[in-house]
Amino acid sequence: MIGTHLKELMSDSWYSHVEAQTPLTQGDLILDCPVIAWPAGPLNLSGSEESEILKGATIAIRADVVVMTQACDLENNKVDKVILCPHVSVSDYRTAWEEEKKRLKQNPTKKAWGSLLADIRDGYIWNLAILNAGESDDLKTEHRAVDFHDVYTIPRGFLESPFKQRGHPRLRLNPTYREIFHRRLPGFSCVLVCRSLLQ
Amino acid sequence: MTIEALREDDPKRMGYKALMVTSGATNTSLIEQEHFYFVHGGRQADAFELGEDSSFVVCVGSVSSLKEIQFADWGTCVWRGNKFGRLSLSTSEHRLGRSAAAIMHPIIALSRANVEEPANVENVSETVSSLTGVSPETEFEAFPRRGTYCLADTERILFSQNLELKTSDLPRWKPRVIDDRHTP
Repeated sequence: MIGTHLKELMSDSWYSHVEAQTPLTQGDLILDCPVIAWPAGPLNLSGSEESEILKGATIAIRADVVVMTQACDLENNKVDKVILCPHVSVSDYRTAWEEEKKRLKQNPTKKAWGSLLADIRDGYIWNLAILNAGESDDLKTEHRAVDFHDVYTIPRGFLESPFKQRGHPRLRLNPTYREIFHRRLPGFSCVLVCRSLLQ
Repeated sequence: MTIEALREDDPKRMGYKALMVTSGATNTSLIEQEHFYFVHGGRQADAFELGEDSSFVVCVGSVSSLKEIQFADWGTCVWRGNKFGRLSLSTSEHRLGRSAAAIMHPIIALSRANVEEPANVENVSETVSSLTGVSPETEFEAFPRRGTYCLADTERILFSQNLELKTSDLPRWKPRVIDDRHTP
């Protein structure tokens, strides 16, 4: 156990390969996670039964997510629910970015894309963090863009059941990179709080 | 004998701090030649060595599940300086009935001998009577997790709905592109 931990700490790799039955921890990348959400827009509760409106407003999506809940809280069973943030491959993010640029009648140049990536890397785009490309055993991933704007909270038991039943192994951020990555979320939250206080 | 559960009396009488006990360890730095229950949480050990009082509500015995602990299972230990003893169950029952708030604090050590063979405790009834009015039949809620604050029954179900979903058929999450340094 200690040997495995030391190996992870000393590894240059961003990821480890964990089996489906391995208990969840911070930095686990979960693919195709079903998520129930609400629409972003305002909800009109007048004119009908409130519960019926709420029922109709639920949205089910699937997202690739990364576990944000502290590893020690999960290990010590302090939490029932797990905090997750969605992520997409950087190539998918670039596609979405190019579409947005075109919608805004702007030219999505290679230079602008490079500038955006540099800004994300340097922490100027507060809601985004980049996870490195990497592989472990037969699992691999390209660079991933994590979006802190969307945060989901899912019961742990529910979250663990699909990947246990599917039997799919998953990638897990190694402790060093997990720590670096996780520090970005409070930074993002802090910016939101500060700005809301100033408004 | 082991401590199944332990709570520290809140100095402001607002509830109890649920503490975590690890049995079987020895700490010679606090009281020599004695075995202790290491207690995670509560006040700093320094406070006790200075002679301040504190009381602990303990459950000893062989309770298989914390959820099954009944009102009568609990007794009270009172730490006075470097001593503490345990009240009888009949005088301690009125102390109970409030939900617990658990906050992480440094580790302290309670003497195992004094927990299991309580010494005479004087004038504790004054403290005990401060929380009268709580029904003796009241049972504790499920033991809250150490280091967390649990609000019991705060969720109200607005509706429930059976959904038939197939993950692969669900629309994919799409990022909301914000290409602006100044807009979080």
